[in-house]
Amino acid sequence: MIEFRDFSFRYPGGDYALHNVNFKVEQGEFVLLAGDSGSGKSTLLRALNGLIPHFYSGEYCGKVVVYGLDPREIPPREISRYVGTVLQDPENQIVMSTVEREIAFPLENAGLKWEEIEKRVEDILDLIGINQLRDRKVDELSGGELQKVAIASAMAMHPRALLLDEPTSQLDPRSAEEILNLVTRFNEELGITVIMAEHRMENTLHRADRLIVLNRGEVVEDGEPRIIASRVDLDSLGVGYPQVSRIARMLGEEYLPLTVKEAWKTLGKKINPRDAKITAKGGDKIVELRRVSFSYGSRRVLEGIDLDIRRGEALGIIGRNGSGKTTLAKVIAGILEPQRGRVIYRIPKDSLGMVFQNPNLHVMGDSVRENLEYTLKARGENMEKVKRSLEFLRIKHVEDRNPMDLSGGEKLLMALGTVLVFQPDLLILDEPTRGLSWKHKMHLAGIIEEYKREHGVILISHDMELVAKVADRVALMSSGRIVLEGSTPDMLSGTLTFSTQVNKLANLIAPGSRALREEDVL
Amino acid sequence: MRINPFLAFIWLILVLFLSLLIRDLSDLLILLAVSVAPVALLPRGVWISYMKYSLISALFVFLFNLLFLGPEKLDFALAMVFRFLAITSAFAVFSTVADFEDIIDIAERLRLPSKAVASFAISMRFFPQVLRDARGIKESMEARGIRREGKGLKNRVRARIPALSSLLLISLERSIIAAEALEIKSFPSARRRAWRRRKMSAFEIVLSIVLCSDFILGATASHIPGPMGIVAAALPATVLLGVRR
Repeated sequence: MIEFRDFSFRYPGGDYALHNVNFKVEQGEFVLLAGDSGSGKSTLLRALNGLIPHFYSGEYCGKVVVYGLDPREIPPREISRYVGTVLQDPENQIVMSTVEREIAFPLENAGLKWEEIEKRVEDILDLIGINQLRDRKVDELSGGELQKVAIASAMAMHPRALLLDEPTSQLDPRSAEEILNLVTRFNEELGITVIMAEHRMENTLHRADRLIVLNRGEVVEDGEPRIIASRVDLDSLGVGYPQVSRIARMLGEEYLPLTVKEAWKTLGKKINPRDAKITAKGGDKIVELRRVSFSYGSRRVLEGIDLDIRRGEALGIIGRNGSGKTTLAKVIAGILEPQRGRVIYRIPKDSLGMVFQNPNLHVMGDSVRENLEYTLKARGENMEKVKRSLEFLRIKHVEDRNPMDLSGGEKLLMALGTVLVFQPDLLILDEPTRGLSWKHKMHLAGIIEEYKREHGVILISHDMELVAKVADRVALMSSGRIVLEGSTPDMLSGTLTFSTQVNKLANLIAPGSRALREEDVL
Repeated sequence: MRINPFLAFIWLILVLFLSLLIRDLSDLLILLAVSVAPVALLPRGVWISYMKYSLISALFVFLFNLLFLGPEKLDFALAMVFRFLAITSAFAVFSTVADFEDIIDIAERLRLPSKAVASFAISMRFFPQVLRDARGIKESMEARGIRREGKGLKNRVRARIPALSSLLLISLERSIIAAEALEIKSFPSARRRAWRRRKMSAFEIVLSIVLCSDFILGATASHIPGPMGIVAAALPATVLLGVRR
């Protein structure tokens, strides 16, 4: 059993990251931790696996009990026999060079005999279904495969509980679903306790036995997910709902559906799907791509791309990981030169701005303000725009803070600020919602909506809810080609993968429906 | 044929050791030829890709020596080039056959402080990612419309200082994640036990002894009188002790 008793923790020089936390988790429970960025989810997991207080020091009050052990008294390596941990970043948590060795690494450290290690490695490779990857170098694996290896490494210790810190935030929808299915299977078939911090409510809420909502370090709700979702406004807490639950809530339903199947049963006769409307009309062309191809060495990444980008509209680019989306964005931004074809710019070439997946790449100074100023200084422009940008992005209150101290959402806004500050004619956003809470995602959607009125926006994302909300046109990429391009309702309807929950529900009620957002069915 | 990493390590130590001891130009040339010999056992092209850059560096070594010591020291300059190429060739052979896990394994066999070696070896896994990050930072600057670094070395250096701070930040975050991952994977541990330690075959053991003996005999007999000869003989023997463990 896992228990928090009057537990509080404060990092040096900060406010309480967790305050007066009290709850128990019985063996075999699936607990979902939800909350806005910086609400204390990661801190709570660190208190369980012993990283707090052994790796992260600070003011520690109250007690944590993990299967009868006190993490204050024993190091994380002892706790790892009971509790396995999977971190958010699939790339950096793998320390060995091959899959097999990564799985064996904690077992070697635990001092198991080689026969036992051999047995467990074989066992885990089969359990996770990654036997075909056993000799592969980790550098060659996709994000989803890496995350499976991380889970395998944690499971090899035969833990009684698995802690997962936003394990799907950096994965495409299909890989995320595979990881969540795997975790659900461990919970149901092996009785392993799962405590998972996640922002993707539509993929996780229905799987959990229990939802714990954190807000500014305090547990504000704890109970059965459906009951909490029905009773509390999760949107106002920054957590959000699955789209179908939000619709039911708007319709005043007492018990909320959490899946499309449940929504079909409870909302089937109460909603009226209509086609999603596109508000923006594309203006003049600002960038044109004609038969553009690009290769990294002998590996062809883009092949014969034809694309027009217009002012006054947002273009969504979707597709699975490795389909060439980021490379296409870099070619459009002028960072990469195409080997074949032409990119025709109808705007000055230095009037394109791109925000990268990793906001840390945009950090060039010790404070948020300095980072925005750096862009203007390097471009030889007036500093007056800094204040306007900080206000537009609503990050003025953190302008003097060090980027290292910002939450994930604030850091993204800062990265966006370093580009928006020079008001590019074309703004390119590469996977901006990775690890973002619902609250920050909606804030970002508002920024894109406003910005696209006078500029062009390209949004690369796996988040279909956001694409449906802000994009006017969508291009679907596969194996370096744009396989299909069209209006957002055309592209995101009638597909089983690249679509929204609303569209899946609407198609059950009215086959062929092009409803995508909550407002399209109410 | 796969060269045993431990054998490659012995090879590397010997080449390194002898290249520092041998002074005669013709002997150094022989050492260079010997250090290139295992390349025949490696996958084609790997060694060449390593040595491509070494040849350029060797040219600089040669020119530097000539520049600072004068043309009369041509022999010395050539000797430095042969030494440099022999050492880099041996390193190229070693890094081709050994993963960083093998380095940890070798450190454990030799009872070296494995925690420090393991930390160093694991950090090597992230080296290509640091290069990717550096490229990413440069691209992120371009993506903000900052394409010029200015003229002159001073301006270029000044323009790159913020990029370095960004790289430092990213590397710091990565090192924290990696350290967290090591902690939750029970590292470091006094109980640690290697899983699949590659054992040397009888042939490999014989080969390493023969090679060591050849080197030692050659070095001690012709060039190293007195106590240094004993050191030359003793070091490879100490290294070989690891083979039996």
